[in-house]
Amino acid sequence: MLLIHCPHCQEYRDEEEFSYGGEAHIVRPLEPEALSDEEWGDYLFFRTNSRGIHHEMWYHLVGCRRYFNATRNTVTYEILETYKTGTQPTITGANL
Amino acid sequence: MSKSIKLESPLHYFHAALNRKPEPVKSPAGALFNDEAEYGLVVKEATLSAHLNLRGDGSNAHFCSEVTEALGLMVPLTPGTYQRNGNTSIYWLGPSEWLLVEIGGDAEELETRLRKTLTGHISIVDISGGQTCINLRGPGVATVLKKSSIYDFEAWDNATSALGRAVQTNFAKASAIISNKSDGSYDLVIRRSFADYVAQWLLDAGEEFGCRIEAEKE
Ligand SMILES: [Zn+2]
Repeated sequence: MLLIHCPHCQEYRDEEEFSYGGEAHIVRPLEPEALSDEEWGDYLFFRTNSRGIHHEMWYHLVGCRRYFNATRNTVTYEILETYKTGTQPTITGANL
Repeated sequence: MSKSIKLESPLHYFHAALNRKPEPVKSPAGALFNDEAEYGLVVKEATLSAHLNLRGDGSNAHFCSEVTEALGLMVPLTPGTYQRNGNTSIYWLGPSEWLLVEIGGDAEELETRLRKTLTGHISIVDISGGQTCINLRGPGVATVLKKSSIYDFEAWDNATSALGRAVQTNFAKASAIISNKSDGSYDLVIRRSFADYVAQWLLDAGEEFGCRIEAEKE
């Protein structure tokens, strides 16, 4: 069982309080109508499926009911940091 | 809400079934079995209280001072805490969300008072019908909480009459807002749709200590 630090509640809480929200930092295209079907399909459906460092959204469902982001190693399952939505991770694949 | 509608507590049937005066049974020491000391867990509902969900910007000093003006209470800005003034408590639910509970209060009056005072981008929703507040007391409470939730309540500092700790977490596979009180008891805010289930869970979890559900007015 994972203990996950919620940046809003500011404490470690049990994994069962959270649900997974998918890849983080996906920017919605400003002009969707200007995209080709392939580009729009990439935005909607395709994710990086990284091996190693992955930035992803988590939802504190049973706690504060807020989304936040986590940096997780997809090989070891270790959560290296959590941070509020709208901020940037300090750990990236490049600097690990 | 129209006063002609008869409001009923979600734990109505428990009160009806469990609040008949128990037959006095003499223990060897001669004490009455229904003496409170015999019960390790006493559950008491604060029936039909006022519950409001309040949204606003906690980083806005104007918002905070207006809430204090309306309620005589500070907005708790520290995660996992609540503030209390008499029968009125305000619980931190999230960075921009609070739960306001006035035990025995009138939700309509409370909402009107807040709307008269609060300005700007805020939201007040009357959720009194959707949840209820129960108090757990007795020497068995710490163990019952351990059985029911994975949260570490022992890490909390003791509450005072004006403030304490509060957490939204899993309770018996349902969810609850659990807070500590200065008298060592705990308040649980539970959802109406789970109230029956939680009450049955508590009767089962508290059975080893002796458990009873107490009516508000006995
Ligand atoms: Zn949280």
